[in-house]
Parts: sequence; C-alpha cells; structure tokens
Amino acid sequence: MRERIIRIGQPVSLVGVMSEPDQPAQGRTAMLLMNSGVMHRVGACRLSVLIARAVCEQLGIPAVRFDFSGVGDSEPRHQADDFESAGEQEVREVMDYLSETRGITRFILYGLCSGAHVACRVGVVDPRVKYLIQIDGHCYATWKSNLRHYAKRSLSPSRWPRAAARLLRGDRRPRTGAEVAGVESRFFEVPNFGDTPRREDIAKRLQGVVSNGVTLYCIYTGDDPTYNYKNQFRDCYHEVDFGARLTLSHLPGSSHIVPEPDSQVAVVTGIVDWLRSQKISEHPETA
Amino acid sequence: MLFGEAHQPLLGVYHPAEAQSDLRRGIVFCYPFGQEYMRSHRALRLLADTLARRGYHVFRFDYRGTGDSAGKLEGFSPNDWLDDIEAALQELRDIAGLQSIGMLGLRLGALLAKEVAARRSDIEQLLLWDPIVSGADYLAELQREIDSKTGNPKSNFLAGNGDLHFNGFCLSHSFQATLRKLDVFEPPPAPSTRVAQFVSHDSAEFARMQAAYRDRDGYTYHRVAAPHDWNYVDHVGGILLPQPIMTAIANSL
Repeated sequence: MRERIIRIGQPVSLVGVMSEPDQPAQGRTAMLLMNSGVMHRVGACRLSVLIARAVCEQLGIPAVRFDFSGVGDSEPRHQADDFESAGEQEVREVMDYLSETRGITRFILYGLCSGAHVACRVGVVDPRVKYLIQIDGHCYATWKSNLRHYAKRSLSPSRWPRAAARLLRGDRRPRTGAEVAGVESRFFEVPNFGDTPRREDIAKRLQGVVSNGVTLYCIYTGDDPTYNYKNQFRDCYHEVDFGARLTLSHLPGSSHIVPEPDSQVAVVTGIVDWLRSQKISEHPETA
Repeated sequence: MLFGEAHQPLLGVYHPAEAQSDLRRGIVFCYPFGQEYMRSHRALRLLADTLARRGYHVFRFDYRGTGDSAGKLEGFSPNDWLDDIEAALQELRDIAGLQSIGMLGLRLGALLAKEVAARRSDIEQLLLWDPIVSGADYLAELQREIDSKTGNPKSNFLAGNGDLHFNGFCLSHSFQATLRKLDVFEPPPAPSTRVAQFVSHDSAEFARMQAAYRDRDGYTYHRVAAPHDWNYVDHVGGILLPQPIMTAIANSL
C-alpha cells in the first residue's frame, strides 16, 4: 500500500490522503471516509486511518480520507451552509474527482456521527454510492429501548433524586456542546450541524438510500443508553424495507469515539469482514 | 506533502510566509500526544496561518505512527520522533531557504522540541507551550488518572504487557521507558537558543522549570490564562481554541 496527498477543486481545495494498493486497483470501487464534527481527517482516535489502511491493504480497495472545507487542512468555502449540506456537495465533488482521475464509478461511504449523516444524505441523491458504513448514525428510541432504558434506571435508587429534580424543574433543554465539555463557548468550536431531523424524515432518507440499491452496515456504540439492543435501528425505521440490505452491529462496550483498543479492533475488523462478504474485490469487472 | 524516509513517509503541511520580510524565518510545530494531538490540531493550524501572515514559514507534521504519517503508534519510540523533528527542520530549511529557524511545541511536543534544541546549535527560538516538564511526571500523571477511575476503564488502563492505553492511544512499554528519561532540564537547549515558556495556568511543574531557566540569557515566561484541558475526550465533535494564549504566542514573535 502507498499513500499520496490529494487536493481537490479550485480555487479552494479540499485536502485528503489516498491509500492505494501496490498493484493498481482492478475494480472501480473506492471508499471515502469523512470527518466527524471538526475533528480532522484522521478520525477520532485515528480510526479513519486504521480503517482506510486496513481496507486498502486487506481488500485492495483504494480509500480516501479527506477534510471538508473549513475542517482540518481544507480552507473554508461555504460560509452560509450548515455542516451536512456543505458536506454533501463536497463528497460528490470528491467522487467526481476520483471518477475523472481514476475511473472510479462505485463508492463506499463511511462516517461516524455527523460523518454518517452526511454519507446517508449522499446515498439518497447520488447513484454512484453502493455501500454505506455508519457508526452512530441517526436513530431514535423505540418502545422497547425505552422500556429497557427506564426499567434499568428505575431499579437504581441513586438516580431517583436527580430524576425527580429534573421533573420538578421541567428542565428538558439539551445542554450545548460547550456546557457538556465545561469550556466557555468562546474557546470552543462546534460545527453547525443544523436542526435535529425528525425520525420520519430520516426514515424517508433511508428508504431512498435502499431504493437506490445501497447496502448498509450500521454500527452502534454503547454511548447512547437509549440505543440498547442490536435491532433497534431496524425497529426504529420499521417502515423502511431494508430486506437483506442491512447489517447491524451493536458494541455496547464502546464509547462514541471508540477509544477502547478492543472496540477499535472490533470496528476495523467488522468493516473489513463486512466488505469482504460483499465480494467487492472478487468481481473487479463489476466492482 | 510527504517527506522523510521513503519506506516510512511523514505527512507535513507547509505554510509559506505571506508577508514580506528581510529575514527568512521559519518555525516547526511539534504536536502533543494522543487525544491532545486530536484536540489541538485546529488551534495549531490556525496559529500556523497567523504566523505565516506575519512573515514566518511554518511547518507542521505528524510523527511516525501518528496522524497521517506511516506506521502504527506501538512501533515507535520518542527517539524516532526526535529524528522526525530533525527531518522536519531539514525539510523546512530546504523548502524555504531559511536564515533562522525555531520550534514551537505543545505539551509533549515541547519536551521533544527542547530535546532536539539541545542536540543542535542552529535553533534560534524555542517556544514551549504548557510544556511537559518531565516524561516521568507525565507518565505518573496518566497513571494517576487511571488509578482515580474517573475516566473510561476500558480505554484508560495499564495492560499486562506494560503498555499504557489512554484515551484511545497506546504508549508502549518501550515508549514509556525512553520517555521516562526525558525532561526539560538536562540536557539544556544550546546556549544560543532563546527560550520562551507559555503557560495557561499555574502548576508546580511550570514553576520548577521557570526557576531552572530564570537566569538563562533570552529566557522569557508568559502566563496567559486560557483553557488547557487537552486530554478531555470530547463527544460533541468540538475543538478547543484557547485564543488568548495563541494570540500571546503570535505577538511574542
């Protein structure tokens, strides 16, 4: 495997690193890995680097990790757009670049959190996307997850006073990122993720993705206690006809940014094994 | 750009000087370790932009086994990273044809930058931002965090083979052994190197360094209150931008 730096677009370029197999890729498929929040392209805990290199070395699939404009080493471009809509345009720009320069026509999109949201948006609008891999993409509580979550909490008396206090205050306002981090907001930069979408809108988006023939691999970490069983994603979007196009993985022992060494291995291995099962590299004439 | 040895290339980013200057001055940035690297990347990139606008040629790079550079973290030691800093200094000299060169290091990067400045006589300026004063103390600090059990025990632990895992990154047993021998006191930077210490808060370690360097020619100490919890694991995709100390560093040049 070798890596090279790529700069895409003018006059303000997007900066990325492309992992390419030693032998020229036989297929026409490449993987794109996108930013999570304002973390630069190496990914939380360097996970994007580990994934890109594993996919390239073990499956012979080129992989590009790149920075959206205004993130990492890419200069700002779209001042007015929110993170996801700007990201959607830029993913397609990178796909155009790889189509023109490498003859790549099919894409695997990978993202964690906001990167997963962007990947899903692109999967609806661009038929070149064939596979989506997301970690902690949009998902909502179901009756079953609520039951499991609140049953567990109700059995823990130490939580009762805080829960009662919250109820009495009527305090349902979500805390800002700066509040969670305990940093004054003027010293803390969080991208504009836009409004949280409605479940029904994400369901429509996922139906669009599946209708486009995209196959999904969705991983959920244990960071959100209201995601608490493997098939919650399928239950949450019960109206979407995933058929055999969905594989779910639940890693309850993993945090959102996957800092645990065991979880990192599980994520990287899981992605490589899942892609291998899709037989992308075995059919270069169609891949 | 990729530079260094062909079989283990390092990723570097060059910020050419935008302002005209009679002197061709350059600064190599030395990143901190692990989660601190992730969390400070943007601040250091913006600081590099600022310095470039003020007429400095700036070079940022990832050590071997980190960021976009080649290899896995577990395979390298601080000595490899010292060699990487030397390679980055040479790269910037080659690109920009410099008359003077300096280094800026944050946390572990500051300790490594000092180490390189002690090996060479051509480092004009050394800017040490919240420096790790002693490798042994740094490791003890991480171990205390692990022992306090305030963090995630699945990501922060000392493995049976001696590897120390902290917030998603691994300091191998051999990495720790080398790091434990490094401190900002011995050997000191070459006498011709001007040292500036920037601290965002008070600590006994910073004071110990200040006391040791106080009588050194050209040494300056700057206390600029600013956020400094570089090792905090962020779950909302946010980045720390401690503007006051970034501004102070830029204004000191």
